[in-house]
Amino acid sequence: MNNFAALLQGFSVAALPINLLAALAGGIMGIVVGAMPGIGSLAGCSLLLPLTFHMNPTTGIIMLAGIYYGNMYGGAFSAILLNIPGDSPAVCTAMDGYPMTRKGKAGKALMAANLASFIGGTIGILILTWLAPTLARLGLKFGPAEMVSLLLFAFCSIGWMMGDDPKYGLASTFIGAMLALIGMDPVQGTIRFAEGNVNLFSGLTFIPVVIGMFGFSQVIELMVKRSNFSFLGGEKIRVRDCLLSKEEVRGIVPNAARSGVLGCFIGILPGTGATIAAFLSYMMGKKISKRGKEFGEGAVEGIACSEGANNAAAAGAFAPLLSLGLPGSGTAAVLLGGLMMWGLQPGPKLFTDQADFCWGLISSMYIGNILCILIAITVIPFVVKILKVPAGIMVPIIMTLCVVGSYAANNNMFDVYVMIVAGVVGYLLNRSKFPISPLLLAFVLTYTLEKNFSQAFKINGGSASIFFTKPISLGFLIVMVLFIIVPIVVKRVRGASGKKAE
Amino acid sequence: MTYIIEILSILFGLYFMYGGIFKYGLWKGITIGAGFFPAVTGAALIIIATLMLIQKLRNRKNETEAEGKFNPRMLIPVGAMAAVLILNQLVGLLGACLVMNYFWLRFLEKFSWKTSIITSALIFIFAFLIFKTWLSVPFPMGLLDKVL
Repeated sequence: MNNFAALLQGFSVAALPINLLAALAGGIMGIVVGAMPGIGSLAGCSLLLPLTFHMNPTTGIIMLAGIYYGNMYGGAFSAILLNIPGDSPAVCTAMDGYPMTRKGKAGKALMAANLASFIGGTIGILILTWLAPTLARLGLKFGPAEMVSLLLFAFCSIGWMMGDDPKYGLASTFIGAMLALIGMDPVQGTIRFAEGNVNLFSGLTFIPVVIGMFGFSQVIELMVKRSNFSFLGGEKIRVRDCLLSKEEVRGIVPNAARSGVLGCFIGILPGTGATIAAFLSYMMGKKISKRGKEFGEGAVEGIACSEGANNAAAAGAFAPLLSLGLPGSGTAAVLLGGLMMWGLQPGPKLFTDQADFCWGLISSMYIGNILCILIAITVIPFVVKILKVPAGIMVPIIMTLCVVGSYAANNNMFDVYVMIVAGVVGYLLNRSKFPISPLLLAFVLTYTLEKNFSQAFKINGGSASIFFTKPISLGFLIVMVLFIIVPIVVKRVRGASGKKAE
Repeated sequence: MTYIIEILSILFGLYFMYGGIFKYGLWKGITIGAGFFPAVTGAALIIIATLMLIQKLRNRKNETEAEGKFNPRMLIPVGAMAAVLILNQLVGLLGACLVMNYFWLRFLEKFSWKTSIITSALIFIFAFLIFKTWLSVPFPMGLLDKVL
């Protein structure tokens, strides 16, 4: 049976009332949980997994999938409205979404985020539909050397986020990398820089660091500047203020589509996930997009790049999960646990032996994606009213969310301490013109880079030649060198031409 | 205040470089040791932070007074968080947030006691219902755990 016919049959399964209800319930819970700081998709799926125990496998996995990509929609809400990313993939969304909120355009920012999520999610699901087994096999070709080259390319791309003086961006990058090195070494298990503190044995958790650097540092800034304002003042919120103009939609669609493709492929790779997909897509958009220079100051295209990628990555993570039984992310690992709980064996035969289940799931993702955007768009005009609340009342709300969200990440008070310190450090860095985004990207990428770097050397008997003999790895290295050299050469040639003309 | 980030960065880099080279080792067998990445990143940060410090020292005449000045108001939220951490031992985390919010609204933002109580209670109820009741996050209860 070809994929199209199987998909149509899957829709007949997904359209059953019980499965529609499961997709709707999963989407709503996912959006709400995703909006809560500290409760990412991994924690959300883990906490809500017991709800599915008494369901049949198809209905249960449909609900879990709904929670997973609903999370991606929800993470944007707190990122845009409060500058506290609901989960780590929403960090880049906050970089442009919150500046838009400060300009009184929160409704537009939320619309942009949801539209981009829908486009990215749809592209990810389409790619999954037609290419799931092929993509999974492609993911297997990415060994340690290929991952190192890809990640080095990503580090090189950090230069696009460095701001006016590259030294500040580089310093942020290395600070982020060093923070990620605290704790257990990924290969040999050596505990580093923990100084006997048991809480640091597994390293610093990303969510409290992000909540501190974004949310709590913002509170400190508000107190220092003695700001007492509301982002909307006395303005009335009208539905049409939340709608996007044609020009804005023209800016969002191509960026979300490109990010969707990139995000889906990143989501397939083991150990990457929606966070890395969002960061890489944002950096690419900053370089390629017409309004790339405005990223970080309130560009809808920036939101589109981040949200398109993270939703597509969520769909992409299902390719290795269903085809090979390999979870591409922590959340996919929870979903794998769900599959095994219901007695299903992921692998190439799942598509043939359990066709109703597989295609029912994929079909439900189409339906769920539509349901999520309808739910999200409906609540935007109401949710935006939060911004009429004066800063004097918002500050305690934000502080409570910072504390509660940091604790909820690992149910550990130590993370609250981390959040506070990260907030102070984030404030001082901001004040000293250090960009935060390179720090966070380096924090996310360093663990995976070190692990794969070490493994590559082990595989090749201690020689670095593996990075140049593997074709995919060599390809990424060549592209990286070109990205560095070409702008320098072009600049020099233009400079020389200018002098000649004079 | 002006040079604090650069100086701290240099010290941070030194700490990592020292640990990387002397404690954890740069190379182990046929692969990198646990100290390789810390040493490399530490060394890089030392170099960059030193360059930044030199640049700032050269340009210090152009710096405005405000840029270098420490603002004590930044300690207010930090103090509030410290109070939450202390109160957590007594009334649990959500209870500590409730008390902190009341005092913040009443004495810092100068709202009436009625508005302060209602607002802090609403924040508490929201956090309790979503995180504690629905998502079953096991918040510490402080001494209330023993009493209840």
